[in-house]
Amino acid sequence: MLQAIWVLTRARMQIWRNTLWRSPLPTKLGLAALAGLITLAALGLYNFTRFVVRGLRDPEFSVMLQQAAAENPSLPADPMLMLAALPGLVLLAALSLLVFSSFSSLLVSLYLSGDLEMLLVAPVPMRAVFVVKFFGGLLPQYLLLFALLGPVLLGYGQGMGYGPVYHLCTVLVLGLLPLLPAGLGALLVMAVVRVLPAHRAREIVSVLGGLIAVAFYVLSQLGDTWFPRVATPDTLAALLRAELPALPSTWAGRALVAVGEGRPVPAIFYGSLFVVVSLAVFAACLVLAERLSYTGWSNLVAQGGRPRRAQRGGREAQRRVSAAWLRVVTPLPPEARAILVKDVRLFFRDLSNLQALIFPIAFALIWFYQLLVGRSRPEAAPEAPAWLPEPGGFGATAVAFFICLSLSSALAGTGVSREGRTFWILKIAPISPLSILLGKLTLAYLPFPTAGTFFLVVFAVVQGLDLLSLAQQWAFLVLAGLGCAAFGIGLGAAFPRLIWETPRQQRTWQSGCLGALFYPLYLAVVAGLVIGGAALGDSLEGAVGLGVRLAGWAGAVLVTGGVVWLSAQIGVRGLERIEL
Amino acid sequence: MAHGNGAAPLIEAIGLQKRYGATLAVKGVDLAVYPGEIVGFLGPNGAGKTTTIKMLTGLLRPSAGTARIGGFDIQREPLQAKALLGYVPDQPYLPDKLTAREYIQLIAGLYRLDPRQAAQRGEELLHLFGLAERGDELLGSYSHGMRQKAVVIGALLHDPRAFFLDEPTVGLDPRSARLIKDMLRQVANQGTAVLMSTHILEIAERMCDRVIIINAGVIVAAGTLEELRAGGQASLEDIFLTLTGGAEAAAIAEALR
Repeated sequence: MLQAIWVLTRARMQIWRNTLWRSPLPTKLGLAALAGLITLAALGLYNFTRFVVRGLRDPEFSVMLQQAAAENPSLPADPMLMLAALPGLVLLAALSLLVFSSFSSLLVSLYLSGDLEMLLVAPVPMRAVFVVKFFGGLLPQYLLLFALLGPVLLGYGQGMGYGPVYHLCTVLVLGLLPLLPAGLGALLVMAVVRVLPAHRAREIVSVLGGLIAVAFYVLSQLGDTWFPRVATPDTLAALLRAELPALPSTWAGRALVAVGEGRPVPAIFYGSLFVVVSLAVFAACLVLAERLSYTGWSNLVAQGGRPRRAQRGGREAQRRVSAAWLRVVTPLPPEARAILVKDVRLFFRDLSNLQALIFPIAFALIWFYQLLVGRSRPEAAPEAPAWLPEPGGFGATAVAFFICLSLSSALAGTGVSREGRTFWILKIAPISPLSILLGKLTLAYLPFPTAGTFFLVVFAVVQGLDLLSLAQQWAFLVLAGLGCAAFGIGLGAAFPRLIWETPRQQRTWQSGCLGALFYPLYLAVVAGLVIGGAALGDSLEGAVGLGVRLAGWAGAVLVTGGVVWLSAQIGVRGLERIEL
Repeated sequence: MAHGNGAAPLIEAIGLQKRYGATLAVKGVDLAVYPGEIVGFLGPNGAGKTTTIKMLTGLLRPSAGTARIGGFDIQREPLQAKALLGYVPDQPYLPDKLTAREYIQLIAGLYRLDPRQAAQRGEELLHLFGLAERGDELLGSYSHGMRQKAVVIGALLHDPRAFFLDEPTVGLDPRSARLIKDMLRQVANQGTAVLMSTHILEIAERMCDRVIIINAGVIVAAGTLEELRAGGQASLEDIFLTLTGGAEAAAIAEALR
């Protein structure tokens, strides 16, 4: 088995070496820059931690803390208690992150890597494959542990004046820390893929990950309502209580502190506990890998063999329903309509796409909540000129636009790149590039007149806005939305990426950079024309003033029309250039 | 049906070239496929078969030369040309999250077919290829052979006049492979020009009216089997190996035994 592990590891290292060696120069420079940044960050963390720990150990600070504790009994009087708990708390944070991140990385490594078929057919022990895939899947976590957590612990040791044995034990702890959470994660992965195909499990995990991220975001937005003050002595006490004796991170932390302080008995006790439990979980994984892995791998071929549930009345009724909602988009040519229908169907059946919807929906819900509790409408200053949009109305338009842009990005994403390897179906069909772009643009633009209208109407009703203001906000939203959606689709067609494994790989750096430059510039121009026209129109009287206002809007429409035309040109040329 | 009879070719390549950097993958290919013909396109790996077919179907832009379908230049009049052709690639990449019936709807929309007629034709083809029972399952759950059949159904839906197949029988069981062969003969009998690349020489011998052999980007032989044999008794395999330099490999294999 060791020989097999060595062969597989050597092959993996050769692949990395060749990938790096043969990558283009910008990629090499980028990686070098990234390595430099990580090194700087590590050095910074090391020095900062050492400085803080030395500061906390300073006798003068200790005196000040005791004086403060005398006035405020809830403050801890002895900083050494906090310092002693620091390694355990830091390791607890790392353990929590490992628990959350290891499932998805091990799922991909153990079941979704491209060489699995070859390895399973070869006379290689299953456990050797498991070991290599297990540690390969944990590589990013190990990099982060050693690059970011390691300097913190080493800086702590230096600050506390610990010897070299402490530093050696720190390296050992960092090496063993992922074994327990990742081992449990691997067991969970192997159990899950006995029931669900691995691809499906990955989609579900990505949605759950998105929900967790949004939950954190919601907490951060509404936290000052629910938790007015965080930085209190009670919080510190709660943190210290988090160092539970039953946690492996606590054992590792206490072992490190004991090693540093030269107390062999607790060092051996806690250290052995940590090492034995970590290795035991890993050993259990090894034993079970041989039995469980094959079952999970065989599930890979099943990707939803269940027939789609037909609607009541069968297929004819389903076709009539499809035809009914298609009449809404009848102005589209049939081929563009076919692309739109296909994209909508594919979007809602792929959970990894649905994950992208979570953030804009969560943001919309937060905004609604803040609107209903009356916090989202700042009052205009009494001396502000009439042509200046009310801050509340302007804010509502901006927020609605941002939500619609996020929804548009999630729905249509990178446009043509989302076709991936199936783009040949569109390329071979007798449809013009313009029709392809039209189908994609319709989906990208859909959120603006639908969700955007809904948001603005609700805001207007809640805030009692007049009809004219609502109409102006709506007009700006749908106009700016058209320009942004068109440019995004055109850019995606001009710089496509059709070979990808995950949705994140669809976007090219060219489209990302150009988009980042274009969107603010375009929005500034259009907003400037509308607001500038209103300003000038208000300073003039009667029909002339009205004419100037309308001219501002006309300018915005012309600029948007120009953007749409330009996007179509670059998109068509991009599509014509694509070769398969 | 032999070519000639004054009919213009439905598939025509004139001096097609494809260059990748300093490498000329296809060095000037001239070929023509007439209505009702099944032409086998043979060649060793890397000879330029797939590249030639992709230039003829518009998936690749030729570095030089012209590709015509039904008289329409695929680069200058792509919509007219593509409306006449059907294509079955060697790798059947399909949208995993569509069902077979939804895929048929997509093709019908892309080719501007009447929805009812396309649905009916699609059902006939699904039954013909034994996919009717699984027509509402996601394409992602299909085996390679089933995906291949789904692609063939999509390619036949609009009754193409020029039909391109790149290794169509790979991954198919004998029954399905026979079905494809019978279907191709039926399609050709209705006047469609079929250009099919294959490595399986027996298929080419049994099915094809003519054979074109390409090697290193150049056509080295073209004609009926009788013309290629030139009065001799050599099999297509012998002819193929002689023309593509495979005889040396056979000698090496013999020496290694």
